[in-house]
This record gives sequence, C-alpha cells and structure tokens, in this order.
Amino acid sequence: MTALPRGIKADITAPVRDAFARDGEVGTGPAPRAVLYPSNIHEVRKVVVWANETRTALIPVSSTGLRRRGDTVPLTDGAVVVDLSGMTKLIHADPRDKIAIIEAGVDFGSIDEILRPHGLRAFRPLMPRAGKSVIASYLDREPIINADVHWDPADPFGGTAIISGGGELTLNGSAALEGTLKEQLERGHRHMVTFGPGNVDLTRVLQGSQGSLGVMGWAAIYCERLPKVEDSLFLCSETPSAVLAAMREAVHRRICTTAFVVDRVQLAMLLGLEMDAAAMLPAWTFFATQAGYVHAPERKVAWQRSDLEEVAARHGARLEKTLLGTSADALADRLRQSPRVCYRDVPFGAHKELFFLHPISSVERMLDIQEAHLRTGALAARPVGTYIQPLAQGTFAHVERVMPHGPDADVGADWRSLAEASLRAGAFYSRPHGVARDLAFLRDDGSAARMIGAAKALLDPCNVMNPNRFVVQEAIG
Amino acid sequence: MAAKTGRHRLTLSPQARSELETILGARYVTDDPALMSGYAWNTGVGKIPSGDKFTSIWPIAVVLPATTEEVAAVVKCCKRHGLSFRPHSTGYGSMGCVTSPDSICIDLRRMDHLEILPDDRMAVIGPYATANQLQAEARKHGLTCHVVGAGPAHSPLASATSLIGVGITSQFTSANMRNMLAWEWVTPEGEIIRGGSAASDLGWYASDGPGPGTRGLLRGFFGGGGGIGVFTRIGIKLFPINQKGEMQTVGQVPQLRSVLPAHTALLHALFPDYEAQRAATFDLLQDDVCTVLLRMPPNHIGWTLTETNAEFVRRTRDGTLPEPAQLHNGASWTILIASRSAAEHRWRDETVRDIVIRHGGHFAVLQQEEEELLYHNFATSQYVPRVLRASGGITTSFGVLDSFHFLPKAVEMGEMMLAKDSAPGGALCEGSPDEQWIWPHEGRYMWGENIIHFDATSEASRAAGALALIGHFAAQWKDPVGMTGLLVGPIQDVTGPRIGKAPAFARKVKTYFDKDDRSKTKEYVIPNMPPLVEKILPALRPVFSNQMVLRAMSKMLGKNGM
Repeated sequence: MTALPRGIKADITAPVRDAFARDGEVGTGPAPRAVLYPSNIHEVRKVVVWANETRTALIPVSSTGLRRRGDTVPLTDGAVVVDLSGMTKLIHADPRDKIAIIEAGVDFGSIDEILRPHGLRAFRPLMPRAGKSVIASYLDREPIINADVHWDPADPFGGTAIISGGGELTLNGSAALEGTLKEQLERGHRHMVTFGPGNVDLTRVLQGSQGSLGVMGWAAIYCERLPKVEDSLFLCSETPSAVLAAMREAVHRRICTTAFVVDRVQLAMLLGLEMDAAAMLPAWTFFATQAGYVHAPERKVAWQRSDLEEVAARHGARLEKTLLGTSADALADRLRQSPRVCYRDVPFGAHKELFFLHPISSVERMLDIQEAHLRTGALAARPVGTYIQPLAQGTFAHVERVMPHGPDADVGADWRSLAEASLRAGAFYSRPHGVARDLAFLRDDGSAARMIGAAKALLDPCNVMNPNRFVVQEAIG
Repeated sequence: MAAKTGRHRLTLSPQARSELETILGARYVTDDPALMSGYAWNTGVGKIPSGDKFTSIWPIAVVLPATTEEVAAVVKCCKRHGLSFRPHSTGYGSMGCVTSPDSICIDLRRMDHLEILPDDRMAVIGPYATANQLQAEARKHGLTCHVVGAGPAHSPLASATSLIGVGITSQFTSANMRNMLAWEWVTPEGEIIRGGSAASDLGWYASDGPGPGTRGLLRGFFGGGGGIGVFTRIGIKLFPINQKGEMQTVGQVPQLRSVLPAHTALLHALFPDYEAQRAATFDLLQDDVCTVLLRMPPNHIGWTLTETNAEFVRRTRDGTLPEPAQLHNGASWTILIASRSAAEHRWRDETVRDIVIRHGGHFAVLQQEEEELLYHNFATSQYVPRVLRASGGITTSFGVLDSFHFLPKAVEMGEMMLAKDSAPGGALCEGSPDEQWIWPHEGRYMWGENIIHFDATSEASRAAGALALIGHFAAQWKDPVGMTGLLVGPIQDVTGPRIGKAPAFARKVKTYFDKDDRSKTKEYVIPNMPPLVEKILPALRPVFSNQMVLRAMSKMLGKNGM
C-alpha cells in the first residue's frame, strides 16, 4: 500500500474512515483507506497529483453532518477521502459588486453570518442543512430559491479555482487573470464572470460531476444585498394551475425574489408542522418574497405587492399573510435558517426524494400522472410532498417529490416505481442521484454517455476522481 | 481527394462530388465560381481584410444540407475524402469564410427552424433563424430575444454556440452563451450528439446533464468559432417585454424610429466625469431599476442621429449636434426604463433621476424624434450599420468583462490605443479616440468593447487598425482591465497559462474530437501544437509587446489581412 502524501493532515482511524463508508441514503460501501484534510488549494493540488502518481481513487467531500445521495460514498476499494470542510475562509466580500470569494468548506450554517458585516447574504436552496457546503451545493446545480436572479444553471458562480483530476490548477471565468489572487483583488478585479476563458468553461463541466472530474478549491459567488424591506406572501389555491400560472407570470415579470410553489405536505414540512396539520393548509401555495435593497425600498415593495395582487387575482389565487398561525415573513426567516437536521427528516425520521427538471407549462400533467400512480400503489396512504422551483427565470422548473417516512419503512421499491413512471412521463433527471442514478441515462440517446466519457478522459485521464460515479462510467470501465 | 487548379483553388474530385450529390441532391452542391464568390467576400467586418475584394482562399465547394443527418453525412464524406469543412450560418462578416483551400463550406441556410414556446419563454431554433425573425416571432407573445452587437441579421444559434454572444441589452437579456438551453451538435467526425434534455428526447429546455455540464467543453467565453464541428439546433431563452406585437415604427430607413410603448422612458444621462459615472453606475445597478444601460461614444450617437455622413460632418462643424453627440459628453448612459404598470414606472423613473442628479449628472434634452430613433436601435440592435457607416471597415478590441470599477480605465485605455491614428493626419478614420461601448450584464458586471475604424481600401489604414487591435492585447498584459473576451487563436497561447490553461485545455478538446483538424478555422485554438511550442509561446510576450515587433506584425496584417 502506498504512503499517504506528506505534509497533509490525515486520519486513518477506523471510526473516521467508516463514517465515510455510508450516508443517509445509500447502504454501506467500501470504507476509504484514509481521510485527508488539505487546508488550502495548493494542498488539494498536492493530494490530486499524489493520487495520479499512485493511482489512488479520491472522493472529495466538503459538507459535514449527515450526507445523502451516495455521491460521497466510495464505489471502489482503497479510495481516499479528501475532506475540504476545514477550508472555511472568506477570501473576499464586496457589497458594491455583490460578490464574495469563499473556500469549499464554507457551509450554509455559517455563510450568512460571515457575509453580514459586508451587507450581503448567500443565495440558498430550499432550507439546506447547516453542514451543507455552499460550493458543493452550487456545484451540484442544486436550485436556489431566488428565481429572479437564476439566469442560468451556472449561477451563482463567478470565477473559480479548480484542480482538475489530472492535477492541474485552472483558473476559470474572470479569475483567469494576471497575478496572484491578492494582486487581482487589489487591482479591483472581482471575478464576476463564470464562463471561459477562451473556448472552454471548466466550471460548467465540473457542475453536476459529483466529484468525478476535479475539485473546486475556491469560488467567487454572487450574493444578495441585505434587503432594507422584505415582504412575503402566501398565494393559495385548491388547484395547482392557479398558483403555477401566478408564479410563472410573477417570475417572468421579476417582481419576486424568492418564488416557489409547494403543496400542503411540503408546506407543512417547511413550517415545521405535524403531518396531520397538512390537511388544514391550502392544497397549493405559491410562496413569494419581495425585497427592496437600496432605492426607495418601501415604494418598490409597494408597487411589486400591488402588481402581485393583480397577478394573483387574474389567475384565481388568494393572498394570505398567515397560514395556521405562521406568517409568510416568518417562513421567509425560517428559510434563511439552516437546521442541523434536514427538515424533511423531521416528521418521521427519514424521507425519500425524487427530483427532476420539467417545463413549467406542462408540470401539472406530470403531477397528475404521478398522483395516479401513487393512488394505485402501496404508497397511497403516505404523505408525498411537492416542491416546484422555477429555474432560469422561469424557463423550466425543478420538480421535487418528497415522502417522509419512518427509518424502517420498506418503501424503496415503490418509490423507484414512482421514479420510473415519472421518467416515462417525461421527467429529466439532470442530477443522477439516488433512484435516478441509473434512470437518468435510460432515455439517453448515447450523447450523455459519450460526453461524460470525453470529460473524464480530458479532465481526469487516470480516473482517480470518484471512479464509477455515473453508471455510464461503469460501462466505460 | 482534391486537385489543384491554381493558387489557393482546389477542385472537388468526381468521387467526392458524386457522394455529396447523393447525400444532398445535385441542386445543393456547387463549385460554380459565380456562386462561390459569395462565400469569399472580404467584408472586413470584425476582421482586418487584405486589399482584395475577395479572400485569398475560396471553398472547394459549397453544400446546403437541410437536416442534421445530412450535415453529419457531409462531415463524414469530408473525412473519407481528406477534406476539411467550415460551417456557415448567416455569414455575417468575413469570419464565416473558409480558412483552407480544401474546405467545404457547409451553408446552413436551409436549416431555419424556428419554434416559439411562449409559456416557457423559450424558442427552438436552427442555424439560419436570424435574430430579426426570432425577435419578430417572439414579440407576438410579448417576448424578445437577445440580439448581439452584430445586429438583427445574425444567427442567435451561431452567437450562442460559436462566438461571443454579447449585445447592448445584456442588462435584461443576458448574453447568448448564457441563453443557450439544450443543444445539438455534429462532431468533426460526423457523430450527432445532443446535450441536456434533448439527449433524452425530452425537449430543448435544459442545457446540462444528466451529470456534468459537458457543454463547457465546447463553449467557453468565445465559443467554438467553427473549429469544433457544426451546431445544428438549440433551445434559446427569451425575455418578457412590456409590449406585445409589432413595434410601431415611423419614418424611413435609415432613420427608422419606434414609438415608445406605455410606461417606457428613454433617458440620456450626462456626468461630469467618468468617476462620477462609475459611482452612479453602482447605484443604477441596484434594485434592477434600469431595463437597459448603454454607454455609446458621442460620435456613434451622432452617426445614429444624423441621416448621412455629410450631415454628421456639417453639424459637427456647426456645433449643432445634440448634447449626447458632443465629444465632451462621453461620460454618459443612455437608459431605457420599460415598466408594466404606472406605479412601477413612476418608481423606476424617479429613482433613476434621483441617482443621476445625486452623482452630479443631468439629463440631455432629446427631441421626440431623437428619442424614438435611439429607442428603435435599442430594441432591435441596429447600431452596427450605423457604426460601420463612418469608414466601411471596423473591428473591435478589448472585450473586457469585470467590475464597473474599471469603467474610467477602460475608456482611458481605449483612447490611448487610438489617440495617435484617429487624430488628423493619422491612419485611422479621423475623429475622436473615444470608441468604447460599455454596458452591464444582468445587473452585475461591465462589458467594454473598443471599436476600431479604418479605411478598408488603404493598406496603411488597415495596418493602423491591426496595430490598435493587437496592441491592446499587449497593453492588457501589462495592466489588465478585466478578462479579455477576444483572445482567439495564437494570442491565447501567447497570453499563456495565466489565463487558466484554457488554450491548452481547448487544444485537448480539439484533439479528442478532431485529431485530423477537419473542422478548420482561425477562430479557435491552434490545433496540434507541439508541447515545446506551447511552453515557449508565453515566454515570448515581451517580444510581442515590443512596439517595433507590433508595428512589423501590423504592417504584415495590413497587407495580407487576418
């Protein structure tokens, strides 16, 4: 067995290694032979170069706490985990340009505190757990709830520093400039562009790769100014069509910051209610937040509120400021908290999730098919939540179904059956996690497999990064 | 195989012609010089041409496929016969011309698919759907597309996949490299590959996955530039506007105007200096208060507001040009505010006015006709023909993206590059050295693009244009004002590993998909570069930065074109 790289903190004790042999969703895999803790990007590079020399599989991990989805559990023997959770520096923050540069270990539990002195806060997915790495979340294209500023799946990344699987440090987007990072910042550069430089966009390639192509050491991330005025509302209806139409128009008109639709089960989970209380909530809710940041914020929120009311009335959605004693503003605050335990595990201790992309215009048809499937199967009596997040400013949506259940419930096969039915109905599993790990490629015409093979050959020629992460890589061997 | 007929001209072998005719039908294959001359037109737009009307290299043949499968078959045919190829969409400028005499020009004009999906604010387009057509169809649904600086005749698919993709309305329509959704691509080997949701036959809405965003292998800042196969279909994002249906145009070309819709204002803010403009800009970018912000050089505003060059010159001498077109008023923003409700519009209008005044600025008084003229050009991006009018030969430089912190410096450096040769007696188009177009992207960062005007019929003027173009790279190496978008071809390699090893990586991509360099272009990395040369080139930066070397190279480019 080869020696571990010198000068990098390492842990080879069994309890630590075993902790990486499983996560909250996937069963036990092979335990890594060591866990390495690089403290900066140069040490990360040293580890990757060493892995290439020794042909050692690396599993990059940046988050702490209960991990899920299997992408940090080794699929091969003898792997080494590269734990970046100790890389927690805020390198730069700038309210004028609404941007910050953070290391990979900064998590959602801490980022807003770190950014607050700079008048900023982070764009967040739907109630991420505290230990979730911000960079890991963005790298996985986890949807942020701020639909108005989600222009493209690369958001909210600016320039980045990546160590490719081959061990090369690449500066990407507008981070690719003369001089050191310190010199660049002193000159006034702010690394605000994610694409490029030149003819390639390695940040985009790394997104969605689940640690199989390289490691991101730091990234510039777009941030939101702390609003001076913020006002949230529930727009409710008994059918999804009214709230979906209202949400789509509001997002297209950019009169909301936070915008998403949930059903009563999902809303109950977000509000921290017992599942029994879900029946007392509206069947469907469009949650909207409007914010004024700098200029006449009260007046801005006032006209946006007035426009939103008009949109709601036109589509038949009713406005509520409070539901079951919880105000919309309180939910907005709650969405900015990061619980230690995933909110979806709170009702019964565990949950199943299924998420995919879909055009918003036909998402209702998809929901009908899923509901018909659920009604006729073994899951009929179980609560299944729905979360619909507009992406790319409402060009399409992330659709998520969540079923809270007891830790011992035997529901895996039936959940997979729902995933299969969804695939037949047109679900696009752009992030192949969990039950979608193999389903994502069943409809592929060969293109995705071909391009993943190309990316692997070009960025990670020795196949050291999270080998066999994608089923199509297993085929490549 | 091909036979030589003379300098830079080859003829297609009977076997290759026969196969192409079988694939496409004889009607869609030609090597008739009369037809091919249209594919060798040396316009000089975006490049420094030589003195000849035609480029020195003509395609060996031109083919017109109608489907992706036909494109793939043509590419495979090229491979079988040792030929190269170059895709050609709407053929804007001379960048679409072939760059080797063994290249077949694949003219994609029969692939003009255009389908609007209004509920999902997107369209599905082929390479020959123009921005003009796309915008006209989108407007029927209260939507518009991003129109890049090249104007409405360009192919949005080409700008999204293969070139830079920025345009004056980027504040609310982003840029086409970020507007591209799912994609379809014929590799240089003739494989058909689809990306995002299209690979699973699930529509054209999602750009990435399953898994990695592999589009990033093919499309960075600059795009494929014709060097990495042929893109044949994409989904593209559209943007809601505050008007549905046709624009209400008045007047006649070239002074076509549009009536401003309800709740819309066009303002022209003037600042005492660039520091004041920068400070105001950071405020104008908060709260999404402006729909479009554009900083045009005063001369360019003058060319837009006057009907002829003669009128422009006369009014310049008379001092009767409107305030925005006067040279001392360079620190300015033309601002479009497009709202949907009266309350929204009142808030936007008052907020913008307050910011401008607070930073020491004021608003130029525009006549209604001037306002409508500027609005029409804003909405359709018709500016390029206006800017071309001054000299007939333009290229562009800088192409920087970074914080607006660099606004004053971008203008200063742009002027520095052009000051000598735009002065009376200089070799460039006489006028002001202030040629920097600046606008924001998505409410965040700055694009700055320095236009270079030269007389395409004068070798000395072309050489001066080339000097300004390549000289700005040297100036940027010394004192960068941001990431440079126009790093194309060998200049990427000279710039070296400090730009993130992008050229070396793009070369790996090129070798992986096109080891024989069939997809031939000058708008991509140099293929098959020996590692030693790759290593040495960045070390030659001091040589390429030397004024004598720059002048010698410029003279050569002025004579032979680039």
